[in-house]
Amino acid sequence: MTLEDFRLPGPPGRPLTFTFNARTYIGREGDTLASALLAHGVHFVARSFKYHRPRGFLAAGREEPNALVALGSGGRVDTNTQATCIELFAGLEARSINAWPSLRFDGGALLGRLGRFMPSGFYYKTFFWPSWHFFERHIRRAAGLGVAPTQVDPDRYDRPNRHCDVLVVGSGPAGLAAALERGRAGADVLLLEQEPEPGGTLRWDERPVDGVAASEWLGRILAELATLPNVTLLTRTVVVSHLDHNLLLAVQQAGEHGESGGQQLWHIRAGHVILATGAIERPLVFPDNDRPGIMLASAVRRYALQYQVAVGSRIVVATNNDDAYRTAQVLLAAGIQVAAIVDSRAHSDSVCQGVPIHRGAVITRTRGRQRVHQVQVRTLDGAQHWRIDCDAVAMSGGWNPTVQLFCQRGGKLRYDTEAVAFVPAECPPDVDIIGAAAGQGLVASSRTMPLWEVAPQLAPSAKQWVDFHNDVTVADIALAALENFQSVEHLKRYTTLGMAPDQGKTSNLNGLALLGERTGRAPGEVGTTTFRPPFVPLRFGVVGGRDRGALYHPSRRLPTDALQTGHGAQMADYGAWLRPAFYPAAGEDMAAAIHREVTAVRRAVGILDYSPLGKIQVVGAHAMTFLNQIVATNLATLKVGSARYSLTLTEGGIISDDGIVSRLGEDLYLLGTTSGAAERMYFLLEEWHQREAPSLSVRITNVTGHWGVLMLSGPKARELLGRCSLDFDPSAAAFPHMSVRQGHIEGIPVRASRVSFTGEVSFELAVPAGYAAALWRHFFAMGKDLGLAPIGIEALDVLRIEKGFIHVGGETDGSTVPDDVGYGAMCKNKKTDFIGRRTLALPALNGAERLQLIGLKPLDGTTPLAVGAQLAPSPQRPVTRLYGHVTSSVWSPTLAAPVALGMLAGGRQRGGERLFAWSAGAFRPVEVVDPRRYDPEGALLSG
Amino acid sequence: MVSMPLIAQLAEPLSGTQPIRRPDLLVEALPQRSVFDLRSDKLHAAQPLPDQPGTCGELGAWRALRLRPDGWLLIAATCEHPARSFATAPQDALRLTDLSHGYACICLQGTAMRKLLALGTPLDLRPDRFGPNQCARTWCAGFTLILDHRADAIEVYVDTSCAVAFWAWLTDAAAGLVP
Repeated sequence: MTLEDFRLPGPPGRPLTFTFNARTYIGREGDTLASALLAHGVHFVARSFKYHRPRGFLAAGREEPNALVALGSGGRVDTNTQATCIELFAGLEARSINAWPSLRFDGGALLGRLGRFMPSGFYYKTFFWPSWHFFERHIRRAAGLGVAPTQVDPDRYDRPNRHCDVLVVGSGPAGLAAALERGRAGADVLLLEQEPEPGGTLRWDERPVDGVAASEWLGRILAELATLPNVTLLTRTVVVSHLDHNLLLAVQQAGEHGESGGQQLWHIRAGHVILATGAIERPLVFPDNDRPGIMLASAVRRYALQYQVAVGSRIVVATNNDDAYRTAQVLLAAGIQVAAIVDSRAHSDSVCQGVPIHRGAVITRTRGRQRVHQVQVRTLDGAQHWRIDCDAVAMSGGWNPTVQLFCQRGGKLRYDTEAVAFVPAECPPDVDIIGAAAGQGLVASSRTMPLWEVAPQLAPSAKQWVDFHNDVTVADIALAALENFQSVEHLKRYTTLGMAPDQGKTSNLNGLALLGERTGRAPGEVGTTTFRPPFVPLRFGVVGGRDRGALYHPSRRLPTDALQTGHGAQMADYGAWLRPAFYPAAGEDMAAAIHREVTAVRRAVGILDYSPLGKIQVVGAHAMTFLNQIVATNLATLKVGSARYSLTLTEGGIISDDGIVSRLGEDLYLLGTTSGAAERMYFLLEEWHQREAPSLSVRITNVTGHWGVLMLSGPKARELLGRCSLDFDPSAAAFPHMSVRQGHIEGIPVRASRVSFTGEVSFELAVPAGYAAALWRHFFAMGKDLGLAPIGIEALDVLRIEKGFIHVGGETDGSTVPDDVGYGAMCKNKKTDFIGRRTLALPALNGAERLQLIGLKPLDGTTPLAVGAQLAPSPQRPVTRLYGHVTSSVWSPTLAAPVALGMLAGGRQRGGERLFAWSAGAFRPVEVVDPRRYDPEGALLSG
Repeated sequence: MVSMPLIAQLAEPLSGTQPIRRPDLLVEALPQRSVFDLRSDKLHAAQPLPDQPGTCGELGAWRALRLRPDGWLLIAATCEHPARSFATAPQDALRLTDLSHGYACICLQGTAMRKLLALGTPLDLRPDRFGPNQCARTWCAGFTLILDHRADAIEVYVDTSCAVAFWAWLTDAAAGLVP
């Protein structure tokens, strides 16, 4: 355990033991991991992404590009986390990433020696021979930073919603003042602060505010805010997105002291947003400016004042503005030696008592691989030079207002030549940006000289680092300009400048300004890249929230769900509904179970819970007229008590859904939909009524959930039904195919339909859903001797394929029109308008070579064809245009043969033709047949 | 052996669930309500139904929720048909559709009831924006809900087929609520 040699005098916080790279240290309550390590003089904590260069802390907050570490173990591994943002807690275990076998002796450092062969964009020009895949696995292993966990993250991530009148982002002086003003006015104010404590720079900067010391001002404001019940402060909460209509997403760390735990992703809807997000300091660009110990001047100041940590014992301050002089004064007051101030401004009048100031000079070289120990300074005219020993450099290249959230929301920037920064120009509605984020005080406090690099004649050979995270240098930017990348967006992608987890917070302006210099443009002409969310990286856990496991994909349950397991059902997810796939009896596999279920329907009676089918009630004086506009089927001749198959098309004439339309009364219709389309169809009808037909007197109600539907199907279905107490006649004569009856079954209201998807006599019995289970049990009590069997979705699919019935989404796709699947006459014979009718007249939707529904019979054995197999005329003739494919394919117990449906160009005219079905490298001979393999004339249905 | 008539064998999706109890929260499934969809654009002038969207009113045994321009949801604990409550209204001016079996009802009470719902719904639940005798059709964690704010409780109506899944979500959400 090492001593805190660099801890400055002051009230010691509670000691906390932690480890970094398996070495134990002592830190203090209130430390970050970074400040705790710096207190021990630890600067070398990371390796850079590309060249594996030794890196130390650059900053003290979320702008840190270098010090990424991994925490935790098992499913709680949190990798690529900024050490400057990790609140120290007892027992913290952190480790470096991107270094193997160790940080100090990293094999990847060899890449640094190969740097001249790896300029920006080198991967676009290399790795071609023998093939990319030869290099891929090595590159993938070398790429990236930390290692993702492989175990499930046990932490909890919520996504709570919040509304407020005013959201203030940032609790520095400007944000606090704004929150107080709005709070006093009675607004519902939410104040967000990314740090553990509010106050921003007020927590360590004692410059007076409104004539009082910063800490006293802060205390007064916080005390008054605490008395306002309409003001809520959330700390440890960083806004990551600012979206339209002032929807903001903010990540809040759960648990105190940053202990590894869950997070919450707040979804906040604010009437007004006030951005008080402050400003971020830029680094200076000079040769070897990336060595451990070279840090932002404001960070050096913060470490000293907030954390009582000296980043070195002999520090050089390098700057192009006034602000860094404050750092020098703070260091001197703390008893730390300031070796020199290197000020690039030749005529600056800033002073610092007792410190040599080299004006009009820049750092041209640094020395010290794992910690800086010397800088070389030269005047800009090259006339004078010095070597200065040091163990840290505090550099300042100016300040950038933190405008990312402002721009995400649509705010516009302008380049201010006096501030030497992009500042807000046009505010979006209901948004204000204040304080340093608005550029206030930048000019007066800084007097910055634009300085984007050290001229090559002063430092001919060493690399000047612009983006520390992705190892982007001035030379890389120069190369991009040389290769004619003019746009800053292209510069970003070509060099990867600003693409790292820090998203260029410290590098963007330096980079774009350098591009501007190479291309003869001012920074304002080059512009910034588009700022996109998230502002800081997010864990996948917080994005997923609690949508995990059983909550990931909640299923709808059948009214008979509780009875299904009693029958041995194998349940599966079918489009958001949990439905029985099949019912294996003892010793049966899936195929055997399906075989038995299909046979039960063909020879006896099967029962299926059909409740998921959509039911949309349309009632009113104009119900028929209205529905006739929706569906392609002609409903004008549909009598009360009758049902008719219908298709619903898109306005492009494409089949969108199918179902049965039943006429239950003079002005009462029920539109049936497929099980996944109920909500969609309901909204279609509502929208059509409101938008296109508001004058029609109709009421549309989605009654899907109210009715539970049981289907009885098979030659003994009527007999079983007849064993129940009914107040309607179920005989074939009184209740023919495609008709509907209303009455009661065993005292329960019922809407009974004679429709069939199986090809056998079928009754669909719709009862109030709460009674469906009781009716199911009753049927089993009544029907055991008839061979009643429950059937699953898989058996239903076999039955309908044997019959040649289409399944929307199976036989149809985004190009299928009614005529393709044999329903052309339905549309042609309908004389009134309906959705899609006009488009159906287009020649392209009527061509003879369109894909048409066919049946397919394999000629080489009993194995069913592969669904999706492509049809071809011969194995030797390649198919160069849309020809055909297999849409459905099963083994048919009824026919004791494989049966399939497909779509084939001009298929209806090609019965008997022999083709090949290609799948997984094999061609199988097939014959084109009638899709109706079972009871093609439909005689059984009418029984 | 005389078995119970089927009409007496009502199955409810949340029967058997245990209430979720915390000092600041009570979540419990309620017995099935009678729920009817009432549509009319001529009625409200003659009947004391709530006129403002998103508001609730009482009509005898029925509570009316104004959820759409031309309609209300009528809810009651009774099995009586609501047509009786509109006996004096012109019958061709209204349409009543029984939706009773389409909804499961869950009651939320306690100081944390808004916080619980806020974990899933973007609706503004602040007391001065959503208070007693207000209603809303909204979205919560992927479920479509109807919320009816009573005096000191919020009754939540969810599609019967989604009730089990929504209850699982509520249970999980309540488990994670920080007091």
